Amino acid sequence: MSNSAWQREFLELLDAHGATLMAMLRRLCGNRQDAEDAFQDTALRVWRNLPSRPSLRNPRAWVMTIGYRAFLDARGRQKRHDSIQDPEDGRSGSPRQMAERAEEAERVQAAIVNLPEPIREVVVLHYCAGLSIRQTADAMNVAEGTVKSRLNSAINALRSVLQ
Amino acid sequence: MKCDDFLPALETGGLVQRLKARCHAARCRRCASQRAAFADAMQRWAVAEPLSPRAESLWRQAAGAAAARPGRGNAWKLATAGAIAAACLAVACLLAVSWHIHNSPIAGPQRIAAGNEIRRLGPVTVEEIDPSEGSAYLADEVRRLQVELKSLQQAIEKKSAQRQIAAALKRFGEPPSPAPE
Repeated sequence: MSNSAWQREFLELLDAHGATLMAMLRRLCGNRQDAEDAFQDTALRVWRNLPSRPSLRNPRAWVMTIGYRAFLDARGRQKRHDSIQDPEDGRSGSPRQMAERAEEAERVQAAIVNLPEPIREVVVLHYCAGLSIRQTADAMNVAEGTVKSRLNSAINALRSVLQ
Repeated sequence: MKCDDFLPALETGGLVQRLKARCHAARCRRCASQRAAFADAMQRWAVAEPLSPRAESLWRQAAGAAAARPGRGNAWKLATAGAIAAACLAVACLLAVSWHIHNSPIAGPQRIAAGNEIRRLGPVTVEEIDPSEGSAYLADEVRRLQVELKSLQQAIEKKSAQRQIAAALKRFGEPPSPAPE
């Protein structure tokens, strides 16, 4: 495959999964700067491993798993936990609805931030990155039962917030 | 199904559990609204903003910064491994040459007896002699020298006798006969 073909595939991955990858990294890292560093690291790893990518594998799961590994490496180098900033949302609707949504989003955000680290990572990978339970387990190198157990813990914590 | 088990069953349960949960939601309005609220909250929490131009440029730079072609990391590893192997080979050659130079025997006395052990200690060659073999060799040498000394004494006596005969003949006026070889 020629270099231009690699670059085209590389940019297609950016178009298809770049935004989700950045959203996942922002929620994992907790701040924009670390997320961008992890994003750049992910891009380098994706580019280097593009030829060895199995064609049958889910590209989204592949990119997200690489992003998660880049986050883990970055966290190993620099332990930093800043407050997570939720992306702006809920801009449609009346001002009252927007205010209610913003308030609920803050409660959900706070509940997720307060989750223990392994549980929070499962929530981010499953709900934000869109990985299935099996893909999440593969990315984290844990059993599917462990992922389910952590998800149930997170659901119970979030359910109390939403009630 | 209990209402407390509804959301976990729906989110992480198997096929049957999810089906039971949906049946439960069809009957229980509270769980149905809870499910909708949960899905809505998680969807809004997980929403992905459009990529910033900076993030896009970071991604595009990776293709140029990493290499002209993907997979260069493997080529770099191969080149490194080759360089390390070449360095190891060069060091091994140097060690072999150094060992050869230090262990080559220097010019010294010849071996004095067969079967003696020769050891090389660095630049010095040490020849160990078995004492019994050494004394036997010396005895042989003594015997050989004694035989040689005896033959020399006989030659001296013969020469001396020849000189006396020649002197006596000269005294009586006869020319000396040539000495037998």
